Amino acid sequence: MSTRRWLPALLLAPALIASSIGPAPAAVGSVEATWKTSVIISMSVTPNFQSGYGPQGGPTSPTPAPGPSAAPNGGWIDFGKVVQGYNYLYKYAVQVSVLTNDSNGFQVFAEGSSDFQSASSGTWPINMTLFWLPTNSGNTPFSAATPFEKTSATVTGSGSTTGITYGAGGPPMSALVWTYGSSTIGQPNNAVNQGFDYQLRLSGSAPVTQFSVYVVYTVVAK
Amino acid sequence: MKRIGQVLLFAVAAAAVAGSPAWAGSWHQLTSKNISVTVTVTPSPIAYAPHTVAEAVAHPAPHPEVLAQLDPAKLSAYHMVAQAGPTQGNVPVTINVQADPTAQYLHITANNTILNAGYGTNTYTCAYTVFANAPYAWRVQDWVYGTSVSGTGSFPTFNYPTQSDLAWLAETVTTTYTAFANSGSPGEQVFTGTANVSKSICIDLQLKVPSNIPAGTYAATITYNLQYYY
Repeated sequence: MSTRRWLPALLLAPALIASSIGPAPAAVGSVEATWKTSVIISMSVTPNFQSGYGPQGGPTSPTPAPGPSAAPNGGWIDFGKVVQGYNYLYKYAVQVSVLTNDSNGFQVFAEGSSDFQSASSGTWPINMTLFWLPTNSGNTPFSAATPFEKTSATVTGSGSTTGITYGAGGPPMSALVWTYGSSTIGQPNNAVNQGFDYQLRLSGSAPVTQFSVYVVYTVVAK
Repeated sequence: MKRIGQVLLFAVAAAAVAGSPAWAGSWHQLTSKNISVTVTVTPSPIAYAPHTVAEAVAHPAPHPEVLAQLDPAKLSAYHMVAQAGPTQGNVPVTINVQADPTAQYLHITANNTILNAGYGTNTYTCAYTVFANAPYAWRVQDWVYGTSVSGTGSFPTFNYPTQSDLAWLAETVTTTYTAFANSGSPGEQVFTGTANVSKSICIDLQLKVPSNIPAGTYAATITYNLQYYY
């Protein structure tokens, strides 16, 4: 036996030894993970949410029709041309969608950011003019409906960013438009929806002009 | 003498024709208008529960699958970030008010048509004002919108033969409250006027809320109808 015969074995030995030992075993332990599930809630508001949206009622002329600012699933609640002294019903005005994991559900409130405003004729009271009622095929321009009130809280922003900042007491109960008593998780898209029609009761003394107002919806977890 | 009698008789007849349209004329429809009032019977059945952090902790959401995720890429439809989403939204509303071509004959101005009511008797002074005028002798009638001789109705105005719980008084014209006529047209006379002499009459309302009426929101619509005599 010459050294030459053992040389390959000697060269392989460290590798064989290393491969037989393997990696050191991992340390074993446990970690306790705890969390609190925060209450989450979000809301979206969609005007003109269904085909057939727009005003009904009034006299035979002009024929009631949505104004140019109305658009499917967006735009304005545009009653178009309305005549002094007549009632109108705006079908499919707004759909409110709420998502929450709060097992107690939520409440939705709605108020006018102001009275109706015009560039030329000042303001006109919203609470004797604009009303809401849940969407229903039986609704008419004379159905029982609830008036929107002009908010007494602080209005923030303007235009599309118009909002209302409420104090610690939250929105007033007179502004409540929808209450839901459980989590929405598990519902389609994990959310629930409610449609609203708007009713216009136009006094015979309303000024002849264009009026507008923002209705602000606020959702509060219960 | 006989001729004098005939002349006098003709003169009397002519005077009657000229002075009283009732002799040969009839009532004609001019226009009608509706006024809606909202009745809110209190106390409200809805109890308000304020929201506090302590309440939220005491009533945690029961869905452990809804977790805060640090990696948005790992979010699925069943995972949501534990933070508040938009909690406020707005919708713009606009109306383009047009003049009523018949307002010169009849129109109604709402003064206080949101009637907050307790159980028992409630009164509302000058809830609305009815204006009327016509080029001939005229009269204004009213009845509960949507009623008929054999129809059905609900609180507060119901339908004949159930008497309306909503009553009216025309200031300067009547002195006692009268339950609204609720058997459809032609209803009841409210006030009258002479040719080209307008009147604006305040209508006071009286609402009786029986104890068996649940708290809530109700509506009543009254039709005012203007006719002239010619």
